[in-house]
Amino acid sequence: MVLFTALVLEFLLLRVLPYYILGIDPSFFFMNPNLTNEQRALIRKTFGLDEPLPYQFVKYVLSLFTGNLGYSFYTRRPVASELMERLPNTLILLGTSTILVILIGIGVGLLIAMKRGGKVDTTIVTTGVFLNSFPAFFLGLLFLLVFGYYFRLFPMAGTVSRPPPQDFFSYIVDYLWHMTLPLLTQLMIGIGGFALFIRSLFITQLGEDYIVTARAKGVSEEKIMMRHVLRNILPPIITVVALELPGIVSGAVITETIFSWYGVGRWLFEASMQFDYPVVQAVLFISIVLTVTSLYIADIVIALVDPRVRLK
Amino acid sequence: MKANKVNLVLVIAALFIVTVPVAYSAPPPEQQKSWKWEPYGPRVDETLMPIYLSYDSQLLALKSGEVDTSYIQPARIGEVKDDPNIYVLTYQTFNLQFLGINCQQYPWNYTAIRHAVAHLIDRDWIIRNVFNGFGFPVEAPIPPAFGDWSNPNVSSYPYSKELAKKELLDAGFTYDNTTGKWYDPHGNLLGDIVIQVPPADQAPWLYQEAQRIAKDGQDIGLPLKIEAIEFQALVSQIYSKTFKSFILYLGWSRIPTLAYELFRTDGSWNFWGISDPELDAYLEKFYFTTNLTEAKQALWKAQEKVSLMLPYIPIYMGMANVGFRADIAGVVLQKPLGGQSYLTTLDVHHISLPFGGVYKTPLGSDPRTLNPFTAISGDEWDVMDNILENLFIANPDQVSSDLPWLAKSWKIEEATLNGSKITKITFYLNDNVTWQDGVKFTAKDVNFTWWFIKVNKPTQQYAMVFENLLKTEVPDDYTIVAYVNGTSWTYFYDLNVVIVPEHIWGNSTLLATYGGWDKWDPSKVSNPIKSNLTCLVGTGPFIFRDRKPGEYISLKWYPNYWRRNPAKSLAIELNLIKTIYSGQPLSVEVRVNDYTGTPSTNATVVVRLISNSGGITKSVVATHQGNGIYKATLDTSDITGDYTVSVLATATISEVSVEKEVTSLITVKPAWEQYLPYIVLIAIVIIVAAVIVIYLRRKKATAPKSEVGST
Repeated sequence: MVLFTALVLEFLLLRVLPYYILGIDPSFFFMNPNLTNEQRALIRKTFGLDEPLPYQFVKYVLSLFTGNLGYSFYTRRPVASELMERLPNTLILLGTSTILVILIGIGVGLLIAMKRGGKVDTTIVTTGVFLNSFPAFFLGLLFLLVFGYYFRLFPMAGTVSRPPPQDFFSYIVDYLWHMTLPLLTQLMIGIGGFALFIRSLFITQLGEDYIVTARAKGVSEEKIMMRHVLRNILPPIITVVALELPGIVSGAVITETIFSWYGVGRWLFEASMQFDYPVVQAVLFISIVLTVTSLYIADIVIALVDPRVRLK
Repeated sequence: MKANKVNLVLVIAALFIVTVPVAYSAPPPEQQKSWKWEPYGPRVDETLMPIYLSYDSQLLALKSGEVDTSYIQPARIGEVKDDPNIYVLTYQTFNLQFLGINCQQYPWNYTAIRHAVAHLIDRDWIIRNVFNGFGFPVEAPIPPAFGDWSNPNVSSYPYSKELAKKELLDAGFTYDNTTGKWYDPHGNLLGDIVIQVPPADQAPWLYQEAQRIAKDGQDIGLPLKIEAIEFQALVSQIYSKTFKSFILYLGWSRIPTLAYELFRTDGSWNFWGISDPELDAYLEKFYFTTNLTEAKQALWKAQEKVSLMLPYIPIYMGMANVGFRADIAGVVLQKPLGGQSYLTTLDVHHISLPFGGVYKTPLGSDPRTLNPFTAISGDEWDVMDNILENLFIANPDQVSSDLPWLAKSWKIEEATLNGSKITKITFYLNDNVTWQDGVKFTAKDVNFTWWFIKVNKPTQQYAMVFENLLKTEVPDDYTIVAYVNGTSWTYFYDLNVVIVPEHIWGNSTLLATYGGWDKWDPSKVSNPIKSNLTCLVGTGPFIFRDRKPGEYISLKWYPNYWRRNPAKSLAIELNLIKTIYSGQPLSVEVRVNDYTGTPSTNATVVVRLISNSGGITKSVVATHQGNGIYKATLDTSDITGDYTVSVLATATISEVSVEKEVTSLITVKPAWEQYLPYIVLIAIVIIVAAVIVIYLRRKKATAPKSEVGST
């Protein structure tokens, strides 16, 4: 039901609103204005833009469930092919950064929760807020300027050298070298906020009665944190992680643009500007499916982790 | 409004400004300043086109030397100004910024309103404050960048609020000093005069210009308003002719045939809705003549009319600033007012390496397709312009004239066919051109390309000439004749499309396998003739070698390019004696270097002795002695006479096979002649001895006899 509603809304936003409400004809982008009306009609027919909206919607939904994501208006190539060229780069970059943000964020959050009120806590919280306030483009450009231009430690752009090494091991090293700066950018903008979030979760739990009881029983602070508090804050963490997962697919537009990282984010942005419906719909559809799926999985995992929550 | 002599001073000043070296960077190196274009090349071995999605990273790449060139945004000039490793070439482009007006909408339908607003456009302020000085103010409908197509004597509207008011008052508008409002000649309160521009966050410079114009209008009481409208929505309104007025750019080509569609009644680009029989007549004459001089005269007349009607008000021509690393030379700019010539592709090189090396030029986006019939973006054409060629190109010494290219000459005639006037255009093609997969280029390829466009009507390259193409003739492999309905010089230019190979694009099975002509990308399909190539083959100086989506495109030079620079080959030094005696071993020593000066150690050197009749008498393969030196010994037994020693060296350089031949004359004398000195010596000795003997004998014979005794 959720999925169907999302699909309907997506279709309305992408097809109905621009053309029928705002008067923007997407076929303008790939049409030579000197074409005759017959030629324009033929091209629009090729892309199914001449059919009634409900029919377009049904065709679209049916094609999705057969794995046919359509053809890009701009390149006229299958959207699925174009997606598969870019998806691995986005998954590797965003997946790595997401996992690292979560792990490091939990670790740092735990540390500063344990040392709350102290210098370490103050320093890390201040740094986290400071870094979190930086926009991604600023950090990215700063890293590019300092580490790419002034110190010449890292490359300016791309996922690999131009041309790339032929040897497999060298290729992997080259890829990782190119990924360093965009990964660092993603980490810097992500860790601060996540660590603060974890810290606040920890601190909230530390005021609970069971913590007082545990301390009264003489349980060490580390055990209280790791065994009791962490377990209790897992459900919100799992929820947040589940909500992060679709972002791994849709990519980070700004980071991908600054570092010329060949991923889905930049592709989605360009497709949006060009009213390339099939591409936007395909990526959104995948994001929606991932969101629904990950939240569903999150519900199950939370139920397993927290015995107070049981699925009916 | 009187027609004024306009802008001759302005034009001259602008010419001066543009041609004086612009002090925005280090000066170009001497080799660049003194470079005289060559129609041969390419000088580099490879063109690498890395993709930089962010302009910041691209500019940093130029500064760090990762790329050899980059466009410099006007606002970023300061970042390269003091960099001794970069110089900037500034030249005018064919992008015209203008205020387009819907002449059917009130109150823009009043000519006086259009004239008044023209007086409110402060071009100098716009160029100075909005574009940091990088722009060339323009008033002529066809800007001076078009050379002698542009009429410098059109009506002028100098920036002046007083003149703006005068235009309105002279046209019957009235101004109420009390209310500060204007009334049209019918006594109605003048409605809002709207200028539409994209929102400030999309195109801040356009918004800023519109604000300035609106403010100046409001200063004299004109209700000039700005309407921010999303770019795509604005373009939709333009195509549907429901817009009011807008400030945008128009990308002209070097030949202003677009003027015909821009200003004639029912022209496909006549968004302004103007209609004037006299203007139509001039435009018809401009378009449908086969005489270029007549065409230019007619266009001049049309410009005079357009500058009075003012359906669009030109503001400025864009200027491009392109940065190059200080080691780069061979950039060819078109005269009179700039623009990079196609010949830059052939001539550009590193000063430290006159031949060879890699030229790195960035792309700002990942080319979506390298199909010449569906490519849209400039980046896509930046790639294909290295591979595919046209029948003729712009002459770099005068942008409005043409330089023969694939076609070595042509003839344009008016003729009659079936009672109708037609244009007959004959192209005579060069006969030494080969496609990159080895197939010979012929007139059949040109014929095929034209009919392909006519039948399939690709969104790119389709033009009226194909609509009117009646028939073609191919009398021989290097001549093609086009018969086009109607008479128009523009047909000649419209036929000048990039030529594609018939043996690839005419292979319907191949195209169908990959989705059809409009869906396939030839750069992703293996070539059926040479498997190490793709189907993106052309006659151009570079071969498509490799591509990594989103990362780069790599092109390597085409060693059999029909305009290959003669000096880009092997260099052979031949050490050979000129005279030898039959039977003596002829020792040949050859030093082979490649065009970078590096000793060629992998060459195959064949030394041949060729007689005067052309027959090869002896042939031997030289052996490499080290450091690019090859030696061969030829046996000269049983031969005498004059011969040619031919040394043919073949070597692989950067994966391409290159060969060079040098010759030298030698004389093989009969063997006995080597003993001639001895024979002569012996003969001399014998003669001398004989003379001595004879002398002695004579002396003895003539000596007096002694007397016999008396008792």
